[in-house]
Amino acid sequence: MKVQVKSFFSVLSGGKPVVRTLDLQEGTTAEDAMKLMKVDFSDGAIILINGRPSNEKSVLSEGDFFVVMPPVSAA
Amino acid sequence: MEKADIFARNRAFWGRERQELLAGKSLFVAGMGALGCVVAEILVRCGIGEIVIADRGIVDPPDLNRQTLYTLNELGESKVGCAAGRLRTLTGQTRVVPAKVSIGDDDIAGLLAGCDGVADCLDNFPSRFALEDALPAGTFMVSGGLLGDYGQLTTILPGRTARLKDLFARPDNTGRVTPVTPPIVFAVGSFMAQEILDNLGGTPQLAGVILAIGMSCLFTERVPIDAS
Repeated sequence: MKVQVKSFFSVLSGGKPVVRTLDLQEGTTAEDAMKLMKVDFSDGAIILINGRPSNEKSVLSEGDFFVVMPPVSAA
Repeated sequence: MEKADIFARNRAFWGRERQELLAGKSLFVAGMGALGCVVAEILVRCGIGEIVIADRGIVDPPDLNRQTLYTLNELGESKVGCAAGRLRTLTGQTRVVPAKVSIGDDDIAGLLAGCDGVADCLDNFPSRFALEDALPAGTFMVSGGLLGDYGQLTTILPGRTARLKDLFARPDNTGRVTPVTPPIVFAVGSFMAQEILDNLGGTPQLAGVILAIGMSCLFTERVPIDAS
């Protein structure tokens, strides 16, 4: 199945958000997709699947648009 | 000096009605670190009637690269005490209420009562979630965050938009030293202040939307959130 992933984690190293279309197996979770995108999830993330707040265990489906953003607070 | 003189340039742009509306509004600023300082200063210069500033911390040397209301002269002093003194000298038209409290530990219901909105400028997730839980009905919260030279902000409307608690999956920045550069502080703080003005005027732009800002590539992007 094809899933489009947009990661904002790349901005933490000076880049722009990265968009990739992944060809995944049925049952792939958001966490699996983040690993493929080399997203460091150790501090958590904002995970939106088709705009809906989700979590790392959420299972992706054909045609999903998956956005992952760093979990930032004030400083 | 006449109040009319101080806000002449504001009024020339947005008119007398909006200036008078702001004079009748109250904002609670949670956290007087980097974003809290910028948001509070801008809202005072805009002419807001009252601002409640909440923080339990003292001024430390590493704060001075980005926390704009403090100087070398205030090291070791209470942040809310220093900030209140500085904010009161800017225009003399805003009632400034300092509150040395720990959000999540202390009862802030009395401080929030009567505020039209909240600026979430806190540096840790447990306190941010506790603040969200304490929001009175009908109150908005503009929530911002920073990391390196990247930032995000959004408006939370209880019962109408996704909650912060639902938005962040397994967040943990407890005890970390967060890298932050001065330009992103001013950028995110300025966008937060504008979004607060828009909420106070009844027309928020970021309810159900995350605005992402990156300084290295000078990009901004709106990311919609589906709360249904």
